[in-house]
Amino acid sequence: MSDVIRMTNVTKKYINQTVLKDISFAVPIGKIVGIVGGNGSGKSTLLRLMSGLSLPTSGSVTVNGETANRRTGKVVSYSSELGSFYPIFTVKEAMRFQASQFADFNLAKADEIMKLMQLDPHMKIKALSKGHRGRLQIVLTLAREAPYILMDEPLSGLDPMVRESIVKGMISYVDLNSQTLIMTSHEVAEIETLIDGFVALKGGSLLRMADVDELHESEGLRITDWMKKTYI
Amino acid sequence: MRQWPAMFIKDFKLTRTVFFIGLVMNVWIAILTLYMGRVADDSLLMFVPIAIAVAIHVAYVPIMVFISLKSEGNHLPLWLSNPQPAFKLLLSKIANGLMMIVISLAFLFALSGLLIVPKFNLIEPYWTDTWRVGLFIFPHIIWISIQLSVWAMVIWALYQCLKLKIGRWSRVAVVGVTILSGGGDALFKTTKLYRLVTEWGGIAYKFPAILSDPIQTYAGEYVYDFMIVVGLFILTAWLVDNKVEG
Repeated sequence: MSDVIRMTNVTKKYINQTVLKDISFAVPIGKIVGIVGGNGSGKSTLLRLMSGLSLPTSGSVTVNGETANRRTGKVVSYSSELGSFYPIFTVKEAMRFQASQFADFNLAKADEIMKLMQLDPHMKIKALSKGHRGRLQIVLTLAREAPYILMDEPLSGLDPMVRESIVKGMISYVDLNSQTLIMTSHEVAEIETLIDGFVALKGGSLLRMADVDELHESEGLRITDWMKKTYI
Repeated sequence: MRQWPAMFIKDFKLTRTVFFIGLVMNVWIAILTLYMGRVADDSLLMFVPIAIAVAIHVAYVPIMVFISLKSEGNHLPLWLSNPQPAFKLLLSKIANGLMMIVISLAFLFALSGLLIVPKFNLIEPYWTDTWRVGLFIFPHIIWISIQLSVWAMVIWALYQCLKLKIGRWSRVAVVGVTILSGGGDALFKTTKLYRLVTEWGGIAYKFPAILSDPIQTYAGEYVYDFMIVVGLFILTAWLVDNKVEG
């Protein structure tokens, strides 16, 4: 099976620090997967490795059967936690630029999500608040019709009042017949009802990968409760 | 809009402020030239500010490329996740620098020319050689500037590769590599092998009204420099595609 992101015995070190240790799992198309874990557990690094923007120290990461590298961006729509934008652009210009660079960027879909996110298309990005930058990040990431959508903490910076509606809106723009959404979040409770499966990390090691239903059946626990039980 | 033109426009926007500041500085240089023309006894002295400004342009493209790359470094995942191959991303930055240096030099020459016209009688004996020197210098400044910009790219890419591997030592390593490669290049240029490789297709540029000796160049030197630049550019593109992490 080639339509899958596969990690095989992946270890990642930065200078002398081991961030991920011997991680192996695969995520097929058609899933919404949450990567959960405490601070410094390696969630963001794991996502960057899947996107090909980071390279494993040992082991291998493949996307659709090909070794992940920077050019994996063709099939992976990735958004980083800190938000990456060219501040020289307005919201509309940023969308047009993405459309010019990615063949799978759907400008009409981006317009639709932009309206849902209540963003002013003429606003300069450098003038946007942190929350609105987060919304723009969601627009730019979800408007791509790439098979894999990777979002690092997409909910951080969003107002708690609008978070629920934005999360629901986000999911409605993912086509599970042809796409997989993988996201990290500290707000496990808020995404639990939306995700099919989860990858739990602790200290850079894979603690568990399972379907949410499987966890409910085997342990009778929600992810949040299981994490409290396991991590503490 | 197609991929590369959109990338080129984005890269222009990243450095346009510095570009416009440069043009304003050119206006000041032209005003200084006019002033020197009025106060100096030696009519050639009025060319000193222009000559300095033109010479400084060798640093123009590397500065523009470095500013652009530094700006990309602030949001590296965004730049690296672009699906275009690295050579296209890097070429866009060099092309921007090239466009800007051509405009800046042309603007400087044109502005100075306009100011010199009323004083033409003072420089008339040197005029033919003056514009011929200008014609000689113009492409050479641009070429040297592009060579330096490719070196700036290699150093930037090397730093990006090393910073996640050896941390703070990456700066020391990059400085070391720069000194060693610069020294190695200078040393190689003193060898017989270098002369053997490059000293063919001699061209002597004569400017008798300004310089007593002709400037001797070789086609082989241009070919050698071109090959080094292409090699370094390919190395940089490979580093960005395969080793730089976002």
